[in-house]
Amino acid sequence: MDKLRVPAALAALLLTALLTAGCARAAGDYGWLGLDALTDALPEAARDVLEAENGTRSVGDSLGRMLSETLGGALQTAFRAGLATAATVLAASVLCGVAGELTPDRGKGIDYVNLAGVAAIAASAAGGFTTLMGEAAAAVGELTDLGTMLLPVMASVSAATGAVSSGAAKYAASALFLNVLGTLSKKLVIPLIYMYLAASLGQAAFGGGAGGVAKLIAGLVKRALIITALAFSIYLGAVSLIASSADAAAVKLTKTAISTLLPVVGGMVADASDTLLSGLGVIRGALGAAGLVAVAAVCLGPVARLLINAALLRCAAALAGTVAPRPVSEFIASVAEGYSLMLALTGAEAAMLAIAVISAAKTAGG
Amino acid sequence: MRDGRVGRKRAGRVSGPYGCLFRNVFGNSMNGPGRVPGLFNAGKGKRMLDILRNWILAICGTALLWGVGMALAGEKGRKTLGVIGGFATMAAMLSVVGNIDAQGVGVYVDRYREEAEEIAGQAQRQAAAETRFIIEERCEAYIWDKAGQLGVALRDVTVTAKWSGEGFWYPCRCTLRGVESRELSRAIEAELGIPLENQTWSTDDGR
Repeated sequence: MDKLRVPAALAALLLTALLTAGCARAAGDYGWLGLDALTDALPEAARDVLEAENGTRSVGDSLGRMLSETLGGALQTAFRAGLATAATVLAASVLCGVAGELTPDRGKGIDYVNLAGVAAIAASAAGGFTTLMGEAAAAVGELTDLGTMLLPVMASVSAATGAVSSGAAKYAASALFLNVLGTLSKKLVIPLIYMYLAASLGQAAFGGGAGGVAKLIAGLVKRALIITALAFSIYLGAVSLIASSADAAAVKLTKTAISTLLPVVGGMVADASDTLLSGLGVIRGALGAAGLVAVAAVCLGPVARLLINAALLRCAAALAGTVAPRPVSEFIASVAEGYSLMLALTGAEAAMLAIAVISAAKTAGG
Repeated sequence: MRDGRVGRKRAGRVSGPYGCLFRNVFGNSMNGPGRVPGLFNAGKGKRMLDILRNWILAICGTALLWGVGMALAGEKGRKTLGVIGGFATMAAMLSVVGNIDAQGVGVYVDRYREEAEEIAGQAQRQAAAETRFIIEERCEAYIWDKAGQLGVALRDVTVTAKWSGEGFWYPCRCTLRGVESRELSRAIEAELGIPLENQTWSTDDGR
């Protein structure tokens, strides 16, 4: 089901866009928008899903079905797996605590009880962490790919409706920031998250200054994501504001010129423009709604799993704090923080793409 | 951590993320034909994101190694390790100086702007072609209706639209096949704005 996440999302996108736009089709062919390319890009499994769908299914139905299928299965599996990891980690902490009580005079050197506890926790949490990090990283990549396919089509629709400057400016800003975040996540943020865990492991096992490095890395990742998301929102808002006024002025000029024509032909010209705009407006709205459904379909599963694992490990850290040595419980909290950092990254990418889609869908034209 | 831009492999070099870190921070301080290009000599064309990534990873990796080393070192080794670690961290932090290519950032941003303009331009042209088609079709339909009202037998009507330069298409000429009707021609001129000289009548035999 996870492998069909993007194909299913694209199927929902294409299905919704084509069905709702088909009713408002004006003369001419909208193939130049690139909707055919979206269909061709779907893998075979997705085309099967598309062909099997009832033609009257609405966006709300698609969303509800996706939520129940993705969340229903994903939540149960993730909860069970997270609970198992948290229980294992808690058991290791309790053993570590008991061992610590039985060997109170451990000297000033390396605390082998701590070391053993931290090693056991790292071993039990490592497999699940790596798998989930891979899934979340794949989701971030899929979101970037989705944006690469969807945003140019929406920019084309916006430009065709008269919002030439604002449509182009929004696409340029969205594509730039999404690409930057996608590249940063793969080349910087994900390695930093692993480095954060390594530093936390070093701090818990050996003490020393590695904890400071861990805090530096966590702070760096959070600030980088906040700054990127904020910069994107501000830049997108600014270019939209400036470019929209230019488009509005151009449209007003055209309407004024049309009004100087003879009544019959002037009415025809205005009507032709309105016909095209209404058809494209429906497509733009449908693409926007379907785009949001697609974003949710891609990231909902990984986000739910990251949330559940982070929450369960934080609970385990709190419980372990009552029995285990402090470094051990802090390390468990660090693993939970690692999940949270990955969740922040996935959420930032999804939020930016959603904002880009909404902004493109709301681009006023005509 | 892959980084093919760091340089060619040397026999016996440390591999993996910390080897990459070592090369990035210290590699270029060695001279000679076996010198590994690193952050101190990134070369032209190295992308800004790669520079940023290597810089941040170098600082964090150096600090991490330093922290672990301090924890493992004994009392005597800590002073020496502290000095070495401090210099290494400073070197990592200063390594980015001289590698920042502000023009590269501009080129990166311009690439998306040009792509966006191309997409918007193409869409605008396609939309204009669609609008032209709609206008020509509706004008033809109007002429058919008018011919029906006037009792003129037409076989075919073709209207050609022209771009006004002010943001819209307008009908500029038409070709009508059938028995010529002055009344219809005047109606087309009065209501669609197509002058008489731009209206071409032809009969079934081509005249």
